This record gives sequence, structure tokens and C-alpha cells, in this order.
Amino acid sequence: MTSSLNEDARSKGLVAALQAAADCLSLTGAFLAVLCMVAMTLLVLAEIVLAGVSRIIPSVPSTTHIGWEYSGYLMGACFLLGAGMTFRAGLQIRVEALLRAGKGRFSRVLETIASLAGAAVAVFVAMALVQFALRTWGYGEVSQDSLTPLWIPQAVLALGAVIMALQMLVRVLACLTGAPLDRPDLGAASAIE
Amino acid sequence: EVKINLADALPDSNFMVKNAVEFADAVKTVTDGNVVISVKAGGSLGLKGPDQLTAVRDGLVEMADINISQQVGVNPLFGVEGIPFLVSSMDELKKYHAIIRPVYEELAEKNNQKILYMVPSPAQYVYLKVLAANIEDFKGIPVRGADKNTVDIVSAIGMAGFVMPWGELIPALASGRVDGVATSATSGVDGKFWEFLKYVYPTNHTWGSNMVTINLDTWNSIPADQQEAILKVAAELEPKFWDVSRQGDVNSIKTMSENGMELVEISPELRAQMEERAAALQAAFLERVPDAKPLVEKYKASMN
Amino acid sequence: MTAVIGSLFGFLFLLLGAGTWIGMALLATAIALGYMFLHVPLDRLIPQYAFNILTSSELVALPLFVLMGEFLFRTRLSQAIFAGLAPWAGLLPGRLLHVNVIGCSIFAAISGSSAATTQVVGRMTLKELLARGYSPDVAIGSLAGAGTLGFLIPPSTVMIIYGVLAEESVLRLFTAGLIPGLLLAGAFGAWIMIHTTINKDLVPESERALKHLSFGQRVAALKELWPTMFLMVCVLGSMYGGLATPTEAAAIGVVGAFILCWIQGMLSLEVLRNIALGAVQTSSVMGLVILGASILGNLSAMLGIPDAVAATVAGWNLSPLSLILALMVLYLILGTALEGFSMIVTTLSVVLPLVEQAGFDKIWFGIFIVLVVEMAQITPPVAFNFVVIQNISGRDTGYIAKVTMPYLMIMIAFVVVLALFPQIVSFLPNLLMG
Ligand code: NA
Ligand code: NA
Repeated sequence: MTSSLNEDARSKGLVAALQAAADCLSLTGAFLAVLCMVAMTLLVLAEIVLAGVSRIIPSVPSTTHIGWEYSGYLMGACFLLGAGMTFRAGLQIRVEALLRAGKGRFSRVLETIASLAGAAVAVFVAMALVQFALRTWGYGEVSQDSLTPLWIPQAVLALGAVIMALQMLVRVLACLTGAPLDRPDLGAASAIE
Repeated sequence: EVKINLADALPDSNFMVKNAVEFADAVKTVTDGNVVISVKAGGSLGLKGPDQLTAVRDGLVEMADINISQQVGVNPLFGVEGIPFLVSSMDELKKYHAIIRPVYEELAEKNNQKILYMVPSPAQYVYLKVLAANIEDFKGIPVRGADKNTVDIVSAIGMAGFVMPWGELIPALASGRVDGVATSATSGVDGKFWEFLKYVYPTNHTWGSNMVTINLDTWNSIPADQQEAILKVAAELEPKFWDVSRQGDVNSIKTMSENGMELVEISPELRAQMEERAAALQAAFLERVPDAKPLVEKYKASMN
Repeated sequence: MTAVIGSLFGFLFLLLGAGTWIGMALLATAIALGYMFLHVPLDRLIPQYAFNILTSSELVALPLFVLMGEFLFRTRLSQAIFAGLAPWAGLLPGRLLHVNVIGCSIFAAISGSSAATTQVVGRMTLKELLARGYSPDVAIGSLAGAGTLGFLIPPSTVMIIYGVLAEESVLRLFTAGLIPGLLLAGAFGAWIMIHTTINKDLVPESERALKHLSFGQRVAALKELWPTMFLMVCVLGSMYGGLATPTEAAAIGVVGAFILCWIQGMLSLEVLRNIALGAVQTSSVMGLVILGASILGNLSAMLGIPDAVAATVAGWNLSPLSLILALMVLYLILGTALEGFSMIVTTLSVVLPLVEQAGFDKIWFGIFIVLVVEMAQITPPVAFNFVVIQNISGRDTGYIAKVTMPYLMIMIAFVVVLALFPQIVSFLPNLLMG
């Protein structure tokens, strides 16, 4: 009895440590996502400014040449690097009718099923994206317009997906051990309460 | 029965897609319904132009109608058709193809696919709001090009070239953020350019073709006699498809004229100036892609 | 094909029912369908799709508008709009509940997308409406409904895609969308008036006093609207003045909103952190749903689902009006699970010849397509406007669907009206463009 309690406590401690690690990674990802979003905005602005100024001063180049391409890469990076944090903060959208209707144990079972499905998908996507970037790197493929090695933006997406997958895996463990799942304090205070 | 998806990034209305559909029908007939190709146009399979070669290579789709110049990211040799002012007509292009097609076939095989037929896009034009009498009149006009090569060429001539997604282009043309476009006449009709632009310059600055390829694993699953029949029908249809492209150019120019656009004649002096300004690009390409040099030299020799 | 379609809906609804995140459920369904019915290496196909979708430059305006919305949410701009509009809205039954419809109509002229429209307007209005004691049912329902106007009132990403696929003039489509857009907005407004007249409790007691202000007071209140005017001039002016493309105009909107925040002295480090994190969160939430919906759409195309369904409808040989009704039902069903864009791209080659043969003009059908894509934005479980509103309000899909239902019904009725009176669509383009 005591030993099983001890084991329980130990596994809870382990899950808590894993959660802390995944949260740390997720926050780092979110920070990188913020940088990507700022860079994306500045890049689009640079494109406007150059186009406008070059009409008045023709010696100024009329375009960055990479604006559209790179703003796309930065957007994708922002989407996926922010995903781990949004999952953990409980902000990703789901249909909550059954989850809310069910009491205690039933709701926990549903939560476990949802987390398992989410983890399976996230792990699949993360592994596939990592292999995708590695293959592109192996073939030496570059983008059509700026000749940028495509493995670089692909690797950034892969990083975001890996963080998201880790967060989901830890969530499955948390479901099984009954640890707390969502941490709203991780995100920005913005929803209407 | 072999069921095949053919990915095409162009819309249903484009002649390349219509050609592909005709080819699919012919294949179905000559293989007695054993090889069924369904053409999925408009990028509906979610694959973009520059992905198509690698998509066929990796077996994501069995066949694709590939815009060759968009594949320069996989191998820069796919850019040899785009060398500025090298080829000046479709007849010359045919001669150039005799030299470069074996190279493309080799590249295709390296990428686990087989070329069934190749069809060029019609001649390239620049469309502007203003009438440019001499080369200085082109200076600084913001012109959208479909790819880096086109952008570099129009920039070399003196315009302010840049790339921009098609979806942004139309509102930008309407508002004056963009004052010109460099593309083929068929695309000009697709974009209904007469709503925004007036003068059509037959610059003929570059050429580009599409190739329809099939994944080699899929190909090898087709019985030998049917393979032969498919190759035969592809070879038969190819000259016809070239004519469709040529005719598409003529018809599109006619449509644009009927809608009030004006085909400007480019004087030999102006053309010479354009070619002179773009010469550095030709040299730069051959330096960056040395494998292209013997092909170009062979072509130039054959023209003399 | 029945097995494929059955599995699609079966998997999706099961996973969603269990509470799986929408983006993940869509992805899981796509992967499962791929393994069951396709012979392609999914581990290579899915990342290629993911890369294409997530880095598509056509989408860049969305996170930019999200960022702009976050700035506005944290300025006094929304309060100012209400202070300026309240005395005027007081003249109408329903009072300030009209701000969503008016705001969405105006913002739709800036943004080409419905999600962006819903996001920015909702960020500004929802909190304030609820704080003033208006009924959340009408506040949220009218936001979800009117948010769809982003696609109908030009500029419009849906019209651009349709124009390319159908070989139609995008400019003509834009022109054709204007009158139907304003009429639909009017219909939403009319419903709000009817609804609040029937049920007086939807408008708070305190707001009813707004009826008795003097004309001078009303005019004086208008000065509160200058920050909004400033922002409108920034964005619309740059776009129609030829300085910026529609996406670039979104970035100008961010700068404008930033300047407003700055002038109002609201830029602390804490606020900036919340704006940045908030924008990343919202973008990430939308990005994952877009990713899942687009991948499922692409795989459906590979499996030939939409064209098979459309071909079935084609085989029925219907009269023109029943054809349009059948297509609307078809798109309503597909639209519950598929994302609007893939729905058009995959069905148009089958449907367009059919519709032309039935005597409908391509411009008219373009507006029809825009309307069904708009409906797909508000039909659960896969409904982008709901994703946006769920993110803003914290309310559940079921509730949002319930309160949005009247607006969906209005749109359905509106399509029937357009089918009976196609002149509503053709009038303006014929007048302006011959
Ligand atoms: Na709009
Ligand atoms: Na929907």
C-alpha cells in the first residue's frame, strides 16, 4: 500500500518534471514564433517602402526580391512554433460538448482518447517533417526564386512540430496519471472571461 | 487496370490542361481502357508548380504536367530554355529542343520519371500602361514577372521587376501598385489584362516548356505493349500540341486586340538594345551552370 | 466511393465528438483515409502539403490582420468607436448590436478574408458589447454571420481563386459582389431589428435612453471616431491609392494600429508582450485548423471525393433552379467538413460546365460560390469563423452554432433570392463595365 503510494508520487513527480521541460521548450518556441511574426511584418513593410521610394528615387531597389517567399516561411514558422504553447495553455479549439457534459472519470477517458489521437498525429507530422527536411537537404534542393536551401525553412517547421509532439506526449502521460492538463497562465491574457 | 492521377497547376481552361486531357483520352483508347489517367487541374491536388518534379519522383502523384523552368531549384540545368534572347521563335525552339531534350530525359530519369511529351508555352510579352518609344521609356516601370529569371530580364532592360502572387496581382494592377506584367499571351488573356493595361510588347525575351512525365515505378507496372502504344500516341500528339500552343498565342493576341490592347512593334534597334542589356544575364547563367555551356554552343553552331 | 465518404465523416465526427482538437482531428482523418484508400507514401505527402500550406504567401495577410486586431484590442479604440456610434445606433431598434454588421461591412472592404474580418471586428466589439449588457446570443451570432461578408464585399480571396479557375474577370467579380454584399448586410441588420423588437430583453435597459439625445449631442459624439477614420485612411488609402497590395495593406494596418496605441500611451512592455503572444496564439490556432482542413481537402481531391459527388448531382439532369438548390445542399454538406477553398478547386471543373449549360452566367455563379464558401465558414464542426470567435469569446462551438443559425438561414434565403433575381448580381458590373 505504502510502496504503491510512493510509486504513485514518484510517477507524478516524473510527469511534473516532464511537463516543466515541455513547457520550457514550448515557451521558447512561442518566443521564436514572436520573432518570426515581427520579422514577417517588417519584411512586408520593407517591400512597401522600397516600392514607394524607388518611384521617387530610381536608384533605390524596388523590391527585396525575397519578400513574398520569406514572409511565407516566417508565417509557417510562426504557426507551428507557437503550437506547443497554445496546446498547453488550452487555447487550441475543440468541440467541448461531451467533455463538459461528462463527469469526472468519463471526461478523463475522453480527454485521454483525444490526447492519444492528438499525440499520434503530432508525432507522425513531426517525424515526417524531420525526414522531409533531411531528404531535401540530401538532394540539395533550393527554392526557385531566391535559391534558398529549402531544408532551412523546412527544419524550422519540423522544430515547431517536434515541440508540439513532445507537449502532446507529455499530455498523454498527464492524462494517465491524473496530473493537471492545461496551464492558461502560459499564454497571453486575452480571452474575454 | 492502372489508375493514374495527373497533377496540373494550371486551370482547366488552359490549353496545357486541355492537351493533357486529350492525351489521357488517347491513352485510354490505345490501352483498351487499362491505363486510366485523370487530370487534376488547378492545383487541386495541393501540389504547387515547383513541387511537381519531386512529387512524381517521390511517388506523391503518378504523373504531372511540369513547368520545366520552375524546377531550377532541383537542378539548375532546367533553366536552359529560359536563357534570355537565345531563341527567337517556336521553330528555333524546336531545334533547341533537339539538343536539350536528351539532357532533360536524363535528368528526368535521375529523378525517377520518364518524359512522355513536351509542349512549349507560347511566346512571351511585356504588357504596359504606357507606350515606350525607346529603351529609356521602360525605366523604373514596376513590372511583375512569374519567376526570378523573368524578373532579372525585365530589370536588366530597365524596368523595376519583381515577383508577386497572382492573387495580389489583379488588385495591384487595378490600384496602380503594379504598372506592367511580363508573361505569355495566353496568361494575358487569363488575367484579362485589357482591364488594366494597354500596350503589348512582343519582347520574346525567354522560352519555357512543360513536360508531362510519369513515375518510373508506375511506368514499369504497365505491360510493355501498352507502354509502346502510349509512347506512340504521345509522339503523334506532340506536334499537334505545339500547334495548339502556337494557335493559342495567335488567338490570344487577337482577343487582346479586340479588347482594345495595342500590339507594339519593337524596332530592330530597340531589340538590339534590349538584347545588349540582357547579355550579361546570359553570361552569368552560363557561368553559374557550366553544364549548360556546351548545349548553348551546339545550338548556336547549328543556327549558323 | 460511399465507403470513402462514410469513413471521412465517420472518423471526423467521432474524433471531434471525443473532444480532439479540430486541426488534429482533421489531420487524423486525412492520414487514416490516406492509409486506407491511397497508395502513396503519406510520410512524404503530408509534410509536402504541410510545407505548401503553412508557407503559402497568399495567407500572409491573415496573421498580419490578427496582429492588427491584437493592437486594437488593447487600445481604447473599441470604446471610442462605441462612444461615437452609440448615439446614432440609438435611433435603430437593436441599438449597438448593429456594430458587428456595420463594422464587418466596412472591414470587408479592407480584407479579402472572412476569418480576418471576424477576428478584427470581433476583437473590437465583442468585449464592449458584452460589457454594456447586450445579449451574447445576438452579439456573437451577428458577428459570425456578418464576418462572412469579408468574402463577398471586395476585395475577396475567394473571387480571385474563382476568377482564375473559371476564366472570369476578377474586377468584374469584385464589382458584382458589392450590391449583394450590402443587401446581405442589410438583411442581417433587418433581422437584428426584428429579433430585438420581438424580444426586448436582448438590449439592456440602460441603452434604451440613447433614443432621446439631441442632434447636437449625436454630432459631437462623432469626434470619437477619428482614430477609426485614421486607420481606415491608412489601410484603404494605401490599397486603393496604389501604394500597397491587399496583403501589404494589412501590414500598414499593423503600423496604423501601433501608432494609435503609441499616441494613446498604451505601449508598456507588458502590453507589447501580451500583444505579441496573443497574436502568435491566435495565428497558431488558425494555422493548425487551416493546416488540417487543407490537407483533408487535398486528400479528398486525390481520392476524387468532391468530383464524384458533383458528378452524381450532374447525373440528375435537374431544372436550373433545382440544380442551384441541389448544389447549395451539396456545398452545405461538403462545407461542414471541408475547407471552402479546396471545395471550390476540386468541384469547379465538374460543376461549372453544368451551371453554364443551365443558363447561369459565370459572374452570377461566382457570387453563388462566394456565398456557399461563406456558409461553410459558419457550419460546424469545421467552421473558421467559429474558430475565431471561440478563440475570442471562449464559448463552445455548439453555442456559437445555435446563435448563428438565423444568419445562416438568411444566407440560404438570400441565395434563393439571387437565383430568382439574377439582376441583383449583374446590375452593377453591366452598368459600370458594359
Ligand atoms: Na473583402
Ligand atoms: Na463548415
